[in-house]
Amino acid sequence: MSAPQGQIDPPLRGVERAMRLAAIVAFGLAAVGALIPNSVGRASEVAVVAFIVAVPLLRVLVLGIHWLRLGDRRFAGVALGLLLIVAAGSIIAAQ
Amino acid sequence: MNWADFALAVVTSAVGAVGGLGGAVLLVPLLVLTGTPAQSAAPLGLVSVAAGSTAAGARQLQGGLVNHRLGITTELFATTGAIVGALASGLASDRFLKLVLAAVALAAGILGGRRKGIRNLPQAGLSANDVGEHVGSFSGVYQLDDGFVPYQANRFGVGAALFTLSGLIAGLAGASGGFVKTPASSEVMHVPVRVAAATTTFTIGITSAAGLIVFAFQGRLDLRACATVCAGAIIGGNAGASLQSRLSPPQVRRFLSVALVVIAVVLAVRA
Repeated sequence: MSAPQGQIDPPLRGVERAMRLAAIVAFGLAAVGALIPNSVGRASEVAVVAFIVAVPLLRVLVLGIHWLRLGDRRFAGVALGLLLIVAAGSIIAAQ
Repeated sequence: MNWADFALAVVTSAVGAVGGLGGAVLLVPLLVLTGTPAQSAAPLGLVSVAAGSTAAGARQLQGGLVNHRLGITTELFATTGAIVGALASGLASDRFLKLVLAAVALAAGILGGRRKGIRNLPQAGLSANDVGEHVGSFSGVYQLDDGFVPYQANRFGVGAALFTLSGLIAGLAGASGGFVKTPASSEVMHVPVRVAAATTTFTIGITSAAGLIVFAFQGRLDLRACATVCAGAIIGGNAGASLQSRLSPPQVRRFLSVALVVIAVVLAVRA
């Protein structure tokens, strides 16, 4: 099924709720990492960096899937292309 | 916990979220001035941008301000530019890059500050049901006070070239390209400044994520400092997004112009 060009695609409430939760989780992990010096704090330091890296990339993935389901294949392809570019950059950096 | 780093992250992220600039362009010079080595300051700048972007996300989505199709498409050019810039970072001198950045920021600040009035006006007949982005295009509708404003991004080719340049500069200099992206969207592509700022706040989170992966592979992350800056940036990003949603477009534009001129001066002094 493809949505007609120009049809309104309203803000995704699920993504909005997820972003609110993500901010709370990131703040909790960051606060524990910054304030607690033991192994729990160190684990939180690693977790918060991994988390804030993952959140925007997951948002792109979710949007890409949403657009694919909506029939907006062109922009679903653009989202996939962006994730592939980030992946390629990571692979180049790792070498 | 380093409370000075925490306070700097709060303030710079709030400023970054209001203007859609990202806080790194202010935070990194301030960290260096307060004694943090430049090699450690750059990753902390990206942490502040990624965290600020996460914090501002929910509030900006709630207002229907982010145009994801425009953001992800332009980010394709910016991220490609950033990767090419990072790979070519040994070719240009640090001083030259800072002066180029200062000139771009100053020009954007002056151009944005000179424009008067609101380009995109509320249109009768639109309602809350029309708020959102349009399938298959770079257009949409956002709410401004009690009215609903339609918009359409124009001159995509010029915009894409500027986004590639912003990524290239960001990759070369290690700074967030937000201070190029927001003026490029609003002044060149004629996207309303609040939509431009919110969309840029989303996209600089993606750029920062890509940059942080690179820095992690290079072993340049001070995780304790990252956690401190992240906590501050989330508070600042949330406060900045809240303030942005209450300001009128001319107020956001004036704020953006002043911030860009300050950034230009900071960069020129550092050069």
